[in-house]
Amino acid sequence: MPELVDHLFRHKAGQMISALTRYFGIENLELVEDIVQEALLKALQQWPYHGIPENPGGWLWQIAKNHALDVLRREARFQKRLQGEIRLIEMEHATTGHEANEYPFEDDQLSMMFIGCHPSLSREVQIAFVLNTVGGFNAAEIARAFLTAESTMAQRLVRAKARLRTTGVRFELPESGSLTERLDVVLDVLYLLFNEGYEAHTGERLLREELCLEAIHLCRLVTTHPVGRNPRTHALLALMLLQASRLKARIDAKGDLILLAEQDRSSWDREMIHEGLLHLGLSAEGDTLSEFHLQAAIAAKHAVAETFEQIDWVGILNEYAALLDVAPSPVIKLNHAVAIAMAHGSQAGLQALIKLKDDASLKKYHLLYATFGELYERSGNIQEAAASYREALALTENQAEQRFLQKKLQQIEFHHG
Amino acid sequence: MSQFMLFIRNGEEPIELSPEQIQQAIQRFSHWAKKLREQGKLIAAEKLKDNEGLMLRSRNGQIVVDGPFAETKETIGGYFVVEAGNPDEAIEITRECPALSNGGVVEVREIEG
Repeated sequence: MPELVDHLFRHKAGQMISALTRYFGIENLELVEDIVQEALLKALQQWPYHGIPENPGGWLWQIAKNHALDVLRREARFQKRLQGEIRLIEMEHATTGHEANEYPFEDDQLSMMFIGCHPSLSREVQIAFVLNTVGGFNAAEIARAFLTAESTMAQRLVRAKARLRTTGVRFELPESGSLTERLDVVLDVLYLLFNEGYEAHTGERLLREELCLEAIHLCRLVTTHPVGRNPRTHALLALMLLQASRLKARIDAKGDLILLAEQDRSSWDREMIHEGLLHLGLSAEGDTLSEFHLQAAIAAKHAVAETFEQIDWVGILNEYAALLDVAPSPVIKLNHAVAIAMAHGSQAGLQALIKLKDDASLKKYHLLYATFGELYERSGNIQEAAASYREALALTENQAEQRFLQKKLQQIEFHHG
Repeated sequence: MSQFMLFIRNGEEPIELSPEQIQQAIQRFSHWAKKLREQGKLIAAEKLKDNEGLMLRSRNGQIVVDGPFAETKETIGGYFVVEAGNPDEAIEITRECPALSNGGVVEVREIEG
């Protein structure tokens, strides 16, 4: 009996919601969601007895499509609304003659991503909307990943749908004039989605990993489409794949953080690294050099080093220097200081770090103090190191990070008592 | 060896399941059935059509037909026939039936043979 591919239902829900919205219009998104949900539930009613069909995805699409056509037929017949009839003809035409799995869902998923990234929505609503409609996560799951109350998230999605209904956005890919700008928003949303999963704040670890993998899944989809395929998209995908290759290695069985130097490099995902390097290569076509390019290049230098000692810190330092020119964010400045320390020693790193102390946006950033602690410890200034670790400890709510810092403090006290 | 019939009744209105949760529920069923089949214990599994049942009864010499019933609550959604050495073993098998974790109710009856 066939087994189900991981997340098939979630991915299929995203495909089917996108495809049906093309014919029903964004104003009928809730109706579309009901049709899709019903198809998924039908599988739950039948498959336990009949077994999983040979082509589960095709089965689901067949059920959803037929139901959708019924709804459109009814609308065309009883309400005599021309709109319904036109959509019916369009949909029948577009979906027949395709083998069940050959319907080009990518077009519709990409159109849905552009709708979700509509400028009338805030960034956090854009992320939630894309996860919901294209990613197939429900409000409860998104709420859990973002540590929001389920009712808040559900309301946020309802409001987003109402907003899109009233703005009258059309379900289509952007015109070439506004394409670059609109695509940049999509890439930004995917990047934020990835970071949300990657930066281990709090929340359920597995769910957060899934956010990273979903961001990769959606970005891969963008790279396969002529409208989305460009050097920046490839660079973002490379960056996410190279970072995500370490997802499993950076946390131990107890959920504690493992530093780069101590990670078991054999547990890095080789396939992801390979695919990431491939996209890094593709991102070099043309003359674009974006923040994504530089970050991907840094991630690649980490990924290809066979041991911690072999990491090309001077190369990484150069990439960070370039990155500071393009995007001088406080976190980049902090990473730049770390790279200085790794390339030229703790004292040089500390000098760079001290300059960041007055940066307002870093004042409450626990990693600044954790880095101070690390560099002071390495240069033998134990008192300053302990004070810095304590300061970092007071600023983080992440339990894994708290345990890590406590362990650091205990080690210092044990060795220097 | 005796045969037992497991009637699967749909429970109260199902909670709102996400696509991922629906898939997981199906996979639980699939693993449960696979295990039984490998042990040679799964004899039959059939789903009944939804909302199509009629009830016939004789009232004052007349046959009265009721239904179909729109209410899905407590109706039998389908059944499994399993083989077990004794009623205890049949209950053990039923205990692991995934319908129970989806809010369903399972009735176990021994087939008199």
